[in-house]
Amino acid sequence: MSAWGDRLARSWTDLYTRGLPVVTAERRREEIRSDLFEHAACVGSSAAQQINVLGRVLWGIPADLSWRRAARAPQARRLDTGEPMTLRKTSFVLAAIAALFNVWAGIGVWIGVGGEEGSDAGGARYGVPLLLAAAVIAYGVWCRAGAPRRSTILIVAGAAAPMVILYWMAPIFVPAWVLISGVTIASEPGRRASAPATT
Amino acid sequence: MRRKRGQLLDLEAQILAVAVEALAGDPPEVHGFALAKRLADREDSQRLTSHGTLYKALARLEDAGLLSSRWEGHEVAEDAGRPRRRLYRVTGAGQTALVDHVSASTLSPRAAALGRGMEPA
Repeated sequence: MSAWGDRLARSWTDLYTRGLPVVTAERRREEIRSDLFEHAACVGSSAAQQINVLGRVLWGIPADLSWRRAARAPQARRLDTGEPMTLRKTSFVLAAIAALFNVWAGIGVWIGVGGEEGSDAGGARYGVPLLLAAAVIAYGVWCRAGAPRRSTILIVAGAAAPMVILYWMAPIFVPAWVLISGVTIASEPGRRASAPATT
Repeated sequence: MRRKRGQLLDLEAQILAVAVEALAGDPPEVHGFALAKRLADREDSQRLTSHGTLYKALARLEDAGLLSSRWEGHEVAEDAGRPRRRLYRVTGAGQTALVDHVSASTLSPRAAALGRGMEPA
């Protein structure tokens, strides 16, 4: 059975290669499979090695997304709305979950903290920004088709709210934010990319 | 990152240097993870280059004609009980680009270390 870090790396690779030409996508997936195998064969599949794999995945996300944009460019020139629906749906579902979480946490913190301390001000200080962040995400989803870039910025910013406001729970929220941001950026409608950089 | 056309990034130069070293081996090629490992060894570091950064750089070098690559045979991989490796080999243009990079960065100790004993094909 493969380890969790390897599974995460493979899932992420499957996600960002989705919708690319089959040959390009399959080559990247096979290279990552080989890399993960060699890595485990070299140092063993311990928890430390899996954390190392996780780090390699997370640090590489910007490069992966940039590579995807470049790999998609020829397709995008032919078909502006070539993004697969599955990625868009995933993006929509994640944004909806983030917005609903902000609403739930915002109301919960507002009522909970206010109730415990006997003051509405304490809860409102955390609750209101979370509710506003939910509204920002909702607006971002609503304007996705008309203003893709603005939509991406709003969703990414709104999803960052729990991480900033409830900062003591950042270890939980940071990976979720990275995932939402990655999917939102990758699925931006009509995203056009520059040609791959050459030396 | 914006840069001048023809200019190598530090990572790209290091990849080419490892690929040049691999020319002496059998096969005279290197696969992705081995590259990451050797890059870390050169830096005396435990930290391996991220997947995204490494494979994007490899694709860029290949697009520029500085590396060539091929899949190893299915039989070889099956016999060894592992996934197929993508094998990279530095081209003559890659060796020249590395030497040019080292010459242009003579003030950099790292670049000088990369270039020791290297001659274009």
